[in-house]
Parts: sequence; C-alpha cells; structure tokens
Amino acid sequence: MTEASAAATAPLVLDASCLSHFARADRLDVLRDLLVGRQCWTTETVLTELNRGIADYPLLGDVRSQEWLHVAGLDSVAEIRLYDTWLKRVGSAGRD
Amino acid sequence: MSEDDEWRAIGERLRRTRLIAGMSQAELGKHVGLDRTMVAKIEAGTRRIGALELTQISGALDVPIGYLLEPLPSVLSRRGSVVDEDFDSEIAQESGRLEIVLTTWLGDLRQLVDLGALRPQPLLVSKRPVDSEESARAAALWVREVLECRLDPIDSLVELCERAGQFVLVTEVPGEGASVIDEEIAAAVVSLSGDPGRRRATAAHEFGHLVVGDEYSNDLGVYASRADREEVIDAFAAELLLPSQVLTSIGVGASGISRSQLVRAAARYRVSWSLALRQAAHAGVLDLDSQRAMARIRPTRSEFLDALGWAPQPDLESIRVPPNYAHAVMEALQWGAITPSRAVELMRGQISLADLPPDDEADDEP
Repeated sequence: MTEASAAATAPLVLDASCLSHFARADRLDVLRDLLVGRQCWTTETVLTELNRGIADYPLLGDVRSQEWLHVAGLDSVAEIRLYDTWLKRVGSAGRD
Repeated sequence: MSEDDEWRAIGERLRRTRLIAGMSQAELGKHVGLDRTMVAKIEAGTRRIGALELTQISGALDVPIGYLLEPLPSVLSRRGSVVDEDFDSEIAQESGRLEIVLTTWLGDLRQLVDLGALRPQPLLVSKRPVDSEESARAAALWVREVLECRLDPIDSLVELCERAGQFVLVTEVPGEGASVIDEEIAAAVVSLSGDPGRRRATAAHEFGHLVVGDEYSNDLGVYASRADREEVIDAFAAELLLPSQVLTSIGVGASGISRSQLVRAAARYRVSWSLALRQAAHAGVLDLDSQRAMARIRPTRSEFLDALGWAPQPDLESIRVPPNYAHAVMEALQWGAITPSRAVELMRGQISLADLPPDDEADDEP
C-alpha cells in the first residue's frame, strides 16, 4: 500500500470546529456523505465541548446521535493512566 | 487489581483528598457540575468516570490527576499518615496538604530519574545511632565534615541537602515541612511561610530526618509521643546551622558572648534569634539570665543587616528547587522528553515560559 492510499483509507478524527460548523448549519448529513467509506471518530472531550454551546445553538446536540461517528472515550483506569503519562510529558497547567 | 478494585481505590483517594481540601461532597459537586449523590458514588467506586471528569475533579481539589490515580508511595502508606481520619482539624488538613505536595514532588523526581536526566547522590545516612541530643549534634558535625563545610556558614541549604542526596522543594503551601525516603530518592518539602530563619531551620530539620534515617516525617501535628524525637532532630538542625564551637570561639572569657556578637553570628549564619540564643546557651557562653533578657529584645532587621555591613543576602524567596534538579529539567527539555509547559511546571514557578530557550524546531528545516 502506498503512503497516499494508506492516507486515503486511514480513520479520520473530527475536531469540534468541523462538527460545530456542519451541526449549526443542520447539514451533518452532508459531512457524512463527504466522508462515506471512511471510519470517522471523535472524542468524548470534543462532545463535552460542543455540549457547552447547546444552550445557544441547540443543533449542536445532534452531533452525539450520529451513528456514523464513533466516540472514543478515556474511561478505563489503564487508559486514564496513559493519559496521565502523556500529561507528565506535555504539562497540564492551566488547561481544562 | 481488578477494574472494580481500582475504582474503589481511586474513590477512596478522592474522598481523602476532598477532606484534606476541607470540602463537602456537595461543594465538590458544585465545582464540577455533579450532584452530591454522584460524588458519593464516585467515592464509593460504584460510578466510574472518564478522564475528563477526573481532570475536572483533580483541578477542583488542586492536585495532579496522577495523585488520585496512583497509590501513595509504599513508605507513606506503610507508616500511616499523621492525618489519618481526623481531617476536621486545621492542622490535620495542613499536614495533608503538605503530604500531597511531598508525594507530587517525589513523583516528579521519579520521572526525571526514570528519564535518566537526574542522578541522585548516595543518601548521607549516619551509620551511628542517633537517639539523643548529644548524638544528633555529633551527627551534624559529621555531616559538616563529610560535605566539607568546616565551621563556615551554609549559604545554600537546598544545595547542601542535594549533595547529601535529599531534594528540597520550597512550597507556598503553609505549614512547616515534611520529608520521605523512597528507595534511592530522598525528598523534602519546606513551606515558604514564616521568616527565612525559620525556613532554614525547617529545611535543616527535614535534612536531620534523612541523616538519622527516618523514612517519613510530617512535622505538623506531631503527637506527644514523637515530641522527644523531634527535639533530637531540632538539636541536629541547630548544630548544623550554627555550630556551638563557633560561639565558644567568639564568647571566650568570663563575660561570655555579648548581644552584638550574637546578633552578628545569627546574621552571618542566617538563623533565627531564638536558635542563636539556644545555641549560645548550649555552648555555655550565655547564662540563663542573659538568655532571658536577650530573648525579650529581638534584634530588628536593620540590626541584622548592619551586622553584615549591609551586604546583599541571597534571596531564598526566588529559589524553589535544587540546582541539579533544575539542570535535569533543562536536559529533559533539550532531549524533547518534556515540553516547555511541563518544564515550567516542574520548575515550580522559579522560571516562566519566557525564560526558556526559543523552540528550535525551525532549525531542523533543511
């Protein structure tokens, strides 16, 4: 597999800004169609961030119910320990 | 340990940390947007939480997330905390907060040792038993000899302790001090509160715990049964900071030492007035009446400065971490093992991001 073809099939991780724009335009279906054939992921942290805006933009609440979008959490103790190891390398001061 | 057991242990550590912070379950819940009953379930280990919630909770309690995740170092759990279950008293909470700072400090030291950036010196532990004030004073003089201080004033206690294998952190958390020996690493924390003389006495006291081989000490909330032991360590600290022999060489003759001579000695050796008086009495150059009279009239700051000819004194406020530790942080940063943000965190406020070298990633361009 070439580098280009590997990149074309690799899973995608979607950040808050991308999801927020499509959700607020009520066109998450378009995003889904654009990325058809690709495994799409986001994180629980991104969903929490979007949740904070639901009061002003209720459409943001639709993101969580997209079946094509997988949500990666950091829930097991082993995963949270790895997260802590990462924090001890990059620092955590003043971040949420 | 099973996942269930892990969550129970995390819940218990969370409960303990919340009590040390003096917060109720409802107060903690309010900080992180959770119901009180939910906090109770997390503490019981029956409700699991994700990294995000745990990060919010640790932020509200002002501890690193790792403090809630990892068991206490075995020496602390084996010895039992002086805090135990009596978290209601202010002194127990203060003790608990120092214990948290000490544990976190130990974790940071361990990280730099594991990265290969920090190499602790062999621990300077007395081979002779130290069980009386006399043997403690002898141990202090032995330390001075080994570390080649002779009878000179000790400029930097933090540096001296590091040479003896003990890493001292100066913390803003109120209280006195605490120290621990965990395998090859000896760590101590000394509170910034109080005047510099008291701070140096606390640092010397924690150093004493290392030299006599105490695995763990937390000097707040000392129970009566331990008071005698603390007296022995205090004698070590006094003799280390201001050797009696220095005072006997000044106060020769029948009249002993004068007030101005003692002020000058206290200023040069940077010890508190009460420690200087205690040492002068021990050295036999000050009788009880003179000691009482001099104790009533404490020298002013200008008297101390005048005794030193107004020479600028090293500023203890700005030094928070030992020199080799600081160098290890810089090495780990250079290797790319940690980010600049983490380096600043590890330096405990001694530097800011602006003090670090600029990011040299641009240099990697062809």
